[in-house]
Amino acid sequence: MAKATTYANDVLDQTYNGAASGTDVIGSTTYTLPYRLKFLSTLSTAGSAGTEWSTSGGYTAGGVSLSGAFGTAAASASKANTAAVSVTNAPAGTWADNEIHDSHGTPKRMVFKGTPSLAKTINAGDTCTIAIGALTGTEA
Amino acid sequence: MPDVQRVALTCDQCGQTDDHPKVHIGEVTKHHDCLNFQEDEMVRTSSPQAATIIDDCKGGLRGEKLLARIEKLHSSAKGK
Repeated sequence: MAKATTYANDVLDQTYNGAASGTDVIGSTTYTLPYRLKFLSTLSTAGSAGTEWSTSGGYTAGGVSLSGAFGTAAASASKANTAAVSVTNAPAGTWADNEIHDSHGTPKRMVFKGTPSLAKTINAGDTCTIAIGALTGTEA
Repeated sequence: MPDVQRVALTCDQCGQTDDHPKVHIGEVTKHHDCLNFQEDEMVRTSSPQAATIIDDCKGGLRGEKLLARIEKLHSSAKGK
């Protein structure tokens, strides 16, 4: 069975939700907003999260809030960020992947970019930005 | 903070290779003062610290001085 476009849009609006607070219930699981974007030095897979950057410089473990990052509702089974997401004064290391999770005390994993690795070498003090439109989700 | 050796990276705009602080927009890497208009607007509106760093770089801060400014900017932000 395939998803109706309206249903696919609803799924995307739940997953790529830029609200500052509240909860989303997906199935039997409650997800706590705001959703957050982790920066990873290794790739995530469906079964396990990649290694998150350590808290250092301008990066705090748990990642960057996505509050306000999605200003437009999903359309045609696609949704993208309408605001850039940045980490300034990044710690030295590798930028390989990103993953969205909720902000519960025990964060729940949601979506990740995965392969291929971005494999960017980062020096301490660099600014790492995800451009407008680069954080995109689609539903088939 | 541990002493981590800095890696020389090439700016995709000016072509210079150095270890100065840079902006990474996905696969693109540039000096803070080498961003095009759209990139500049996007990065500076994503974070007040980024806006300050871009302005400082355009004002002439480079390399170690810019890095020191970035670190100071964040330590003062944490102190608030």
